[in-house]
Amino acid sequence: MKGSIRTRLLAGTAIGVSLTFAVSGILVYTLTRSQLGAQFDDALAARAHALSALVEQDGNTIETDLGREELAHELHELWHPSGKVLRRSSSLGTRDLTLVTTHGLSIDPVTLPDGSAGRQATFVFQPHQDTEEAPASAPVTLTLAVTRDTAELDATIARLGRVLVAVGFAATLLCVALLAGIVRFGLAPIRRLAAAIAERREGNLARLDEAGTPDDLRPVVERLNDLLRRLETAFARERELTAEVAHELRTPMAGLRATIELALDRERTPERYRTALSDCLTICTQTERMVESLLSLARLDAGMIVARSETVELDDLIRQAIEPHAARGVTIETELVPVTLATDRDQLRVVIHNLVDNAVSYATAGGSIRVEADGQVIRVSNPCTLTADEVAHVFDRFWRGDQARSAGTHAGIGLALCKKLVELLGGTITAAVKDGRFVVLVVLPRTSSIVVDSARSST
Amino acid sequence: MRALVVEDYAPVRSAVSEGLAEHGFAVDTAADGEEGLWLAESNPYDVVVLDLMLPKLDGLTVLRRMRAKGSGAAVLLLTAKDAVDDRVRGLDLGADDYLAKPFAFAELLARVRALVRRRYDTRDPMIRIDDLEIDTTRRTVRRGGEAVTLSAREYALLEYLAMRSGQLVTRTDIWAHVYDFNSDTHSNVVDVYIGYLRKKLEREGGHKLIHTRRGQGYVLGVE
Repeated sequence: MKGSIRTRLLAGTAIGVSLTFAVSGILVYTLTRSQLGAQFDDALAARAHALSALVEQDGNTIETDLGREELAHELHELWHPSGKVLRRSSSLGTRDLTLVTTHGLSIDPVTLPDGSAGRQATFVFQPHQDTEEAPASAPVTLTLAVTRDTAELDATIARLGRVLVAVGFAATLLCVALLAGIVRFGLAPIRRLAAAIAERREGNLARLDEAGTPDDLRPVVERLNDLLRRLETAFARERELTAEVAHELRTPMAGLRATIELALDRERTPERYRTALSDCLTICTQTERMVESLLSLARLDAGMIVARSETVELDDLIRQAIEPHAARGVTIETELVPVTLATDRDQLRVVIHNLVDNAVSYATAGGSIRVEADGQVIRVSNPCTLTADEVAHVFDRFWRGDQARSAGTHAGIGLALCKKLVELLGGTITAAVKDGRFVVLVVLPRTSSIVVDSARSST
Repeated sequence: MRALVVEDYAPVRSAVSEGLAEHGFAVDTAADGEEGLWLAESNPYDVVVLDLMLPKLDGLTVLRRMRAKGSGAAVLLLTAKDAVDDRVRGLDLGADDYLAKPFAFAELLARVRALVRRRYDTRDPMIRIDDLEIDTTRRTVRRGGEAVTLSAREYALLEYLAMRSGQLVTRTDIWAHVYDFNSDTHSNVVDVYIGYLRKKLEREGGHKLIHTRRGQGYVLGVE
């Protein structure tokens, strides 16, 4: 539906109003015309009756006083049954009116002898006899015609028509003008709302005024306010994330810069330069992993990563993740049931690496780090000092346990990434503290067709 | 001058503390807020370099508690966040300056030195006492126009005495401001260094500048 509501309202009401006026005009016109016609006919009939009373039968003679009753706009003619004209208006001269055959009274439209339109009352009657002077003779049935010119009536009706049309047009125009104003006034809240919405920007997400809104628009305003609220939350989250990302990137930059500047500050021994470079390399590696994780998270958020399905030997994948730590002398206890899954190798590898690295970073000194895998369940645990309250946040982005921070690693997104990835693979990930151990449980979907490989398990 | 570096990120912590130490500061470090606060409360640091995001106790809380306990150390905040709020709150809570990460070490050093000068009410980085000139920026010393070569420890001692010239400086003060926890110190090391300084600053016909107040301490200045 295009076009403005204003135009549509206006066009609709204008058509409605003019139709109403037209119909009522036609109605008024028709009713008045028939009313006036009836009055005219009544008057004509009454006149015919009155004139007939002036005709008397005296024996075989018909006497009339009609000569005294001649009116300017009226003609009459009286016929004997034989067709002989007994009397006619003097202004008729030798011309005749139309003889209409009828019984009693009939009123018909006629053309007057002078060619103009008129109406004629034809009255068939037996004239009055004066029975006091002479006995009644056989009554004669006479026909009296009375015509009147309808020019005046027609003119009146025509005038009425013109007046109605003129008034109708004027009223329609007035109504449309009024309606335009009313529509404008009625749509003002929409215009105000549009202006208020136009003011909303990223920096101005103030709620729209609900109290001052008409009831019809309130649901719209409420939905909009809802949207604004959600937008604000999203923007705030975005800002927070950006600030966190900035922090995460600036911290290693500060470390790199300080380390390099210190090394360049004066002449150093080659051993000292080697240490500085090795420190920088460590920072670079950590930053690289952090950036990779951030990118993966961003891609996951944008739905750009799709899980593939391929054959994955879970126990091998876990051994690969443990190897680098074992090489550095970290002992990790394992209990791995050989199993083959149909899942995305790369994504699962990231999950397992993150979980193992996390366990190694978080583990309090002296405790054992354990990795177990059985079927589609992976369990990684390490001794920790986390509280149950803190565990509730481990999957939050940029949340860090104090242990991780003091260890100098920034694991704030590792677990958040794991959660996203496990969800991508269709599984669930949960964390808990049990007997002073931090336990992460990954359950991959049953549909990932588990094959417990007995041949490999014997090796 | 004695400084405390409270920073959880090891590369920044070690680089800043080593850098400051190389520029004559006696430096202690803390990797979290609790340790930082404990150190700040138990030692009269001249400058505390304080990161805002710290484990256990965040930087602003450390700052607030330090000030509540009456610590007069100059505080330089380090922050990796954009938030103006944090900086404003930091300054309002009694910080003296702030620096955004990543920073140039030279700038950190210059700010730390400026904070030290402010703490001892010396605006001029060049301290002049009689014919003794100490350039605290270049860390060079001249007496009567002639360069005097000092070891790092000797310079640190002289600078501290010079910052408080004319005042009585006790041995305890010297211990607290010139030595950090890693210093290998024994009871008469201050007297030994004062002796070295006296010898190096001695000049034919010049005034005696370092005076001993028996049983109390030392005063640098012209009697």
